Amino acid sequence: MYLLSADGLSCGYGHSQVLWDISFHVEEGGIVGIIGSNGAGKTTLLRTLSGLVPAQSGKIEFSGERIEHLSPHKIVERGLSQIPEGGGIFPYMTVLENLKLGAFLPWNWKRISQSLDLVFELFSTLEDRKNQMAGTLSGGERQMLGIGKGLMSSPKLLLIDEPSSGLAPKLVLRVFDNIKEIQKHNVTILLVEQNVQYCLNMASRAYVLENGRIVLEGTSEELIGHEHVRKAYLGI
Amino acid sequence: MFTASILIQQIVYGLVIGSSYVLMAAGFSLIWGIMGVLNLAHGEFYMLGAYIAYYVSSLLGFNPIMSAIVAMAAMFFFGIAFERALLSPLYGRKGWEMSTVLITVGASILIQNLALVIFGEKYKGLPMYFEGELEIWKIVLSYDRLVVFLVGIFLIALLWYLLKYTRVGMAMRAVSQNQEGAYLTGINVHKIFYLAFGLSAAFAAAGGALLAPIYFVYPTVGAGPLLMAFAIVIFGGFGSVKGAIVAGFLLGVFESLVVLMVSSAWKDVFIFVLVIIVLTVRPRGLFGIQ
Amino acid sequence: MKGSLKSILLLGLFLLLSFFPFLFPDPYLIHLLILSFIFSVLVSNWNILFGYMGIFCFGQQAFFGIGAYSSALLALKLGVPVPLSIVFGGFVASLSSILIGLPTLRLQGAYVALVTLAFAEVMRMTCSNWVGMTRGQLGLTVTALIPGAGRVGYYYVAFLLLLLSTIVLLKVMRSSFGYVTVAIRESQEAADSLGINVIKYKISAFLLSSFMSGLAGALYAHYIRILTPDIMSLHLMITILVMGMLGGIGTLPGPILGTFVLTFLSEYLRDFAQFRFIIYGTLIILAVLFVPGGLVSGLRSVETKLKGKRCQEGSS
Repeated sequence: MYLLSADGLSCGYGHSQVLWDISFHVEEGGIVGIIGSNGAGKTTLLRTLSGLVPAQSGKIEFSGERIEHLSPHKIVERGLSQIPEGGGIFPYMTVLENLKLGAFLPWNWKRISQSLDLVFELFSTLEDRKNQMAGTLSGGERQMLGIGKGLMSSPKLLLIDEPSSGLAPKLVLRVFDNIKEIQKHNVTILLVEQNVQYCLNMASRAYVLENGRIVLEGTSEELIGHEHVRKAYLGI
Repeated sequence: MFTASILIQQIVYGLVIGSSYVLMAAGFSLIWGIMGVLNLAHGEFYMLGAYIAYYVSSLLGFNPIMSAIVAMAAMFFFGIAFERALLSPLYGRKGWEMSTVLITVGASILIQNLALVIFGEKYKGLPMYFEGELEIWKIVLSYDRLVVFLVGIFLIALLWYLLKYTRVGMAMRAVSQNQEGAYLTGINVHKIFYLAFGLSAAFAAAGGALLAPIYFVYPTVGAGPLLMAFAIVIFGGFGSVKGAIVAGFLLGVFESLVVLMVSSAWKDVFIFVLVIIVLTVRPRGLFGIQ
Repeated sequence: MKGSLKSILLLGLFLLLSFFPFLFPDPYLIHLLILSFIFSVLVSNWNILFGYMGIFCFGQQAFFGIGAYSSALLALKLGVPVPLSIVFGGFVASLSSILIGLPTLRLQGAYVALVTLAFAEVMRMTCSNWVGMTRGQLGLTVTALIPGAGRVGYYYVAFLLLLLSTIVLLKVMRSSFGYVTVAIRESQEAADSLGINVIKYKISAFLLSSFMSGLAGALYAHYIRILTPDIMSLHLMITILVMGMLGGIGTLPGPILGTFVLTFLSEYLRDFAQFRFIIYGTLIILAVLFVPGGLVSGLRSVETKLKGKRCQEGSS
């Protein structure tokens, strides 16, 4: 059984449909990627998975349970967390407060100091800046904070929306190293990215999303060698 | 002209009433920051708090502090019911900003006039509970007013603590800063909405309950404090509780001085003009987030 | 076909109203109709700002009152002939709208509500306290429009005013101006980015809306013959709100329909005067929750249902 699977999922905003008949799955452990350029519908897909946007048809299953009609906080309760683009941080609260909020759910709140220790171990920069206002952090630090916050909720599956956006390549590598670290702590990851190189380096399997539809799927090796991918996304 | 002691006396009165204004304004600001809703029925929460305190005091002989607690508890639940019944059906609708304004206007009219019919239009007064007064350097402050001030300060501190250090308070702040981010953190935003609304109603009721023995109680008593809350929130910055606190005391003192130096009839005009000026010159207010 | 039926009904209504005083010379009914005409103008023009442009104007009563007082005082103190003073009343109200409009131009939603409300209250309190000029709460006696003309004369003047207002609004809203106002309501930023001079449109809307409201107020003053600052009270604003909401804001016939219904309704509810505002409050709440489009949207959905039925009957 897959940890997360979507079947015939269609969704949009009001009268404008964005996604058509999306089907994919994510097994436990490992990293799966979704590649797509701007406007392909990546963020909408993630928002639908997290319950922020209602699905118009189709189904989503997480750990064997149908979640497409659940409200967002219940989805987080079941272990499906998301790090939206930009980190999803609260700008007028300190780094420490942001992290604490990551552990908002009652069972996490009790273990909050252990979780904080873990996050600070992984991201020492965050510990250095723990009393700084989150809004004053640099782009890379915000991303880090977002990941740290996501970790605090001890999720089973973490959806990450374009972690590389707006970051210099050196920082991007650092962010991806962090993501690899998290994966070692038993967190499955669904990575959505515009940058195909980064994505296929991290993920073992991936899907290609174009104009709201899944057009390709396969292992990373298959996709890197695929003609369409090379032409459209790698410019080769 | 006015001697220093008369001026200081008036400033002290301003601080006393300011503490209640802060309670009104803090709740109002909270709702705006968290929910984006302009609650024009907020004055009615104040009024109902005052009436509850009045009846509890005169029929059961409770002291002002107990009356305030009862009023706060009752209005907390009323506020929750209000949010659930009137506001939550409107979220997500197109043009919900206008709808929420209109529905709170409707509720305000309804509650005010129900109060008029049920309680009657006569002004009701309460006798002083604590006899005696405090006198320091020619400044006189009745114990009644002192209690109002101290309880007000206590409640403000309580709110501050709640928002800064408790899990629920942090969640409230989170929702006001990034609603989607809050959802993704597992926060039940709708629950935060109604809790915050109940809280704002409770604090408005506290303001009304505390001032009940000092000023009269009547169905439209909430109108003045509502406009004051507006003025304070604009002055201090929409969405900023800190701003509401600072501006609340400042405007309480300002009003008090206007009453002394000009007249009671024109005090509203002065407040309005001040508001218009602030809105034109610095719409963000002192500590505004927007 | 439905279209021509509607036109026939409207024509019939127009003829009925045109000859009403001769068909039913009941002074009480005529009085109610005069009030309905006058307030329809007020609510329709408020609707331009609130319903069409999305400007939270909570101070329309000020334009009404300023028009009223200006006209009354011009006629009384300077001997200006009344028809002229009424027009001037409109202009003064228009001028005042610049005062109120300027701070609100770059603001949105809540802020506008407060500024306009504050402005109206300041106006009211000034009128109330400036007893030397306005006689404050004691009341100002106002000269008649047409001395000795009786109620019927006022009836036709008010009717003409409503016709004028409606025609002007129809022309304006059906033109490109109308499209722009709705665009501004939907998204001020989007309109801005399209190169629309939002400020210019807002000012124009304020000028028009306040001018007509001022005319209405002036006519009201010369009809009722006695003027107190209560004319600009918050109660009037609430009444405008209820009339607009009941009929349907954001439509042209809505405010007129709502005004007529509420004017006649409140006369029947006169015996329950204290419950009047309770009912108003409840109506607003119910309207927002269940029928946000007001009576007009209710009627329109009935119309579409009937049309649907017709099609079904036709095809079978």
